[in-house]
Formats: sequence, structure tokens, C-alpha cells
Amino acid sequence: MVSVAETSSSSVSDIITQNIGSSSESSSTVSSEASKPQQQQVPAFTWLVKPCFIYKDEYKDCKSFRARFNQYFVDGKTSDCTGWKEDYDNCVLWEDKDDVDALNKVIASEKKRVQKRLKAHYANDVWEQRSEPPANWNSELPKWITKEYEGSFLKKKADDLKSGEEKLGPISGSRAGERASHGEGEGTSSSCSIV
Amino acid sequence: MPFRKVDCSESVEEALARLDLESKRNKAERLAKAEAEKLKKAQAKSAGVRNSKEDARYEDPLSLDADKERELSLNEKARKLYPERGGDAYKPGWFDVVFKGEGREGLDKMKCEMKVWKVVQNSYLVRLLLDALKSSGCEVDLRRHISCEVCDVSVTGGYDPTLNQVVICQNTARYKGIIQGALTHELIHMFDNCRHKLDFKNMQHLACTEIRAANLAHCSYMSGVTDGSVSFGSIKEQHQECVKDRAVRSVLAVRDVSSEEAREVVDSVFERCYNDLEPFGRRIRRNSDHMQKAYWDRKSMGYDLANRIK
Repeated sequence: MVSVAETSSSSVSDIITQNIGSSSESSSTVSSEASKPQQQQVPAFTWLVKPCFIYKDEYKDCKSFRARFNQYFVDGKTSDCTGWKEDYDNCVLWEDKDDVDALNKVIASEKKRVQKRLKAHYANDVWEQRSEPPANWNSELPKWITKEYEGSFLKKKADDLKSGEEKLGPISGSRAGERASHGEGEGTSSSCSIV
Repeated sequence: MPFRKVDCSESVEEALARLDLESKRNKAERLAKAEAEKLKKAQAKSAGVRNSKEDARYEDPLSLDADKERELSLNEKARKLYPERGGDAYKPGWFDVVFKGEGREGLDKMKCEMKVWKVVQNSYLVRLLLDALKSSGCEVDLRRHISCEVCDVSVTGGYDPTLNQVVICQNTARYKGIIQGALTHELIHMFDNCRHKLDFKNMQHLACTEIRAANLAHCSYMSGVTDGSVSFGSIKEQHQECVKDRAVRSVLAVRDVSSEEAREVVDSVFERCYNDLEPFGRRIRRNSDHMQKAYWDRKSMGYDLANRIK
């Protein structure tokens, strides 16, 4: 297993921005958007903090029998769940008492998780990274295929997605996504738009 | 020995010498004939490949390298599994229509496409992959990149790197759950092709992408037990055995190699590829909300940005 070394917070954001590619903005501009309605200055990476119930859920799941069995099945040992408990406690402190130290601890913990993921990803040197999509990504299909697709169901759906008639909305089928977009004006510090 | 008039005038030695010479001449002729035939066959094969209907339909941008035999076997195996990729629509014979209930391929195709649309709307893992692909600069167009076709009964889906399409088998993947699994699996291959310089002729690259697909989307404890790769007794770290087994089977399905060779290749890249969990970030446990959590986690990796900015 790869051991994780501590790096500075700026390198994590660099890796994320490098990772994302040309079609998206950098993380710092998004966080400034989120903190615009705020009166106080919140740390730059507050958007990384998830709603507190998720930490509690992860903690309970980590401790459960099924998860312990699976941890043993995969890693050969049970994993340490105290990280989730700490994150939950700190998240609640931030939510209820606006404790910035607690918020920073949660942010640091989230960054560590992201870093661990990316480290394992970039340590996979079986293949080289691309700097742009493959040349044949949207290459023209042969005419006999496009003719076949003319009146097909997926063609209609794809066209509707492009024109805006259809949308890939929130998955649960509930209207949580709409709630989130309407709730931006309320000025909550941590984002509740988890969908 | 052919019956022929023996010339009693010659001595035994002379006769033996004559027969010896004849046999040598016959052998030489035989060998020359075999060589000529081999040459003719090889020429016919290479000429055939260049003029075949399949290649006229879609050009193979990957040029044939020195290992022509291997290349041909690779294409042949793939074409056997996905016959409609060559351009000929599947036409069932009378026996299939009467006794196997075939003959409704058009209807099956539409049903498959409708299920694909439902899966794309409602599956956390598929949506996560689509978001991750879009944020990586490779947006998936549902019509251009997904195709419902009739395939061999041994597969439920595939990925065609030449045309860059995910193939969903309308005749074997008839339920939304199976389509979801196949789509997740193939989109992982697509994700690897988008982010990395994947060479599908390189066995190590193929093994790595299959390891990642097995690791992320398949191989719970029970599936390992039913497949026989995991025993009831030893539980510790058996997930790796399940993943290796599955990856080897996937490699063998599309490549003409021995199982020992496939296992060797999988072992050589296993460590690195097993720990690479992008874009999910975790190994999904069955009957848990891990899929939902993984989908929500996409925000911390920036995979949702492409959809947020309009």
C-alpha cells in the first residue's frame, strides 16, 4: 500500500485544477462565488465540507458489522473509524457555534482524503497521462451507422439534451436539486446542495 | 513399393542408389510445394485483409505492425463477439425465429435504448462517470458514444476504441440492472481512454483497465464465493483474488493468449492499478449507500464543475 506524505494545501488545489482540464474553472473562483453572500470571511475551501449528517453516516457505516467484514475482506485489517467521528464533531461545532478552528480541521481532513485519492491515481504509471482528449473522441461515424441512427430513440434523447428540452436532473427523483438552487439566497455557510 | 518392371540388368547397389536419388528428389519437390502454398496463403490473407468489406466500412487508424498474425487474431476474436460492428445487421435464420424466439431485433434495439436512457437518468455510478468524463474534457453524447447491438451470448457489453463507442448487447443485457453494470464497466474503460494514453494492443494497459473495472464495480464477497475465486475459509484480503480472477477472464475473452500468460500480465500491473480508484474514490460495497456517497463525493474532486457552469 502507498504511504501518504503531507504536502501543502496549495499543491492539492494545483493538482485538482490540473486534473480538471479545459472545460471548467478553478476551485478558488467557485468558492468565492459560494461565499459572496457571506458577511464574514470564510476560509477558501469551505465548499469541501459536506453536510454534517454525512460524516455521522460514514462513521456509523464504518463501524457496522458488514463494513468491518468487508474491510477485512479487502484490506486484511479493520480500518480506523475515528477520523469520521472527529470530522462529525468538528462539523457540528462549525455549524452550531461558527468555530473556525473546527472548520479548518474538517477542511484539512477533506484535503487529505482528496490527496490520498489523487496520489494513488497518479502513482499508477502503467500508462501516460493525456493532455487533451483522444483524437477520435468525436470523430465522424461511418455513413451507414449514422443512417441507422436517424430515427432512433437515443438520437431523439441526445438531441433533446442538446436543445435543453430534456435534462439530466437530480437522481433520487426528489426535488432536492431544485431546493438547493433556490436556497442559495439564504446564506448558509456550508453548502447543502449535495445532489 | 510400386509394382514396376525391374530391370535385372542393374546391380543392387545401382538400384539402391537410384531409389535414394529418387526419394531425395521427391522430398525436395514436396518441400518446395509446401513453401509455395504457404507463400500463396500469406499473400492471399494480406490481400484479403486490405480489400475486406469490414475495413472499407470503417478504417482502422491503428496501422498493422510487424505482428500481423496477432493483429488479425485480435480483430477476429472481437468480430466474433460483436458481429454487428462489421456492418452486417444480424439476420436470424428460420430455426432461430421458430425455436429461439428471435426475429424482433428492431424492437429489442428500441427497448435497449429506452432502458439505457432510464439507467443514465437514475444510476449514481453512471452519472458519476458521465460527469467525470465531461469534466475531463470528454463529453459523452448518448447517440454518438453508446450503441445497442446484437452480440455473442457470452458478453453483455463492450468498448470499441476504434470508433470510440460503448456497445450494449440488446440480446443478453435485457434488464436495467445488467445494462447498468455493463454501462458502468465500459464507461470506466472510456474514462481510462480519455485521461490516459491507452493502447488497447498493449496487454498491460488492457489488464490494468480490466483490473480497475473489476475492482470498482464488481467483486463483493458473495460474488467471489459463487465464482469460486474466494473460499469460505480464508477471508483475509481475498478481494484481490476475486479481482485478479475477473480481470484474467476479461482479458481472455478478447485476446488469444493462454490463461497463464494473462495471469502473468495481470500480476505485473496489479499493485498500481488496484489502488487507483478514480473516479469513484472508493470500492463500492453491495447493498450499501456507497454509490450515492461516491456520487456526492464528486464535488470534492471537481467532477461536477462541467455541469454547474452553463
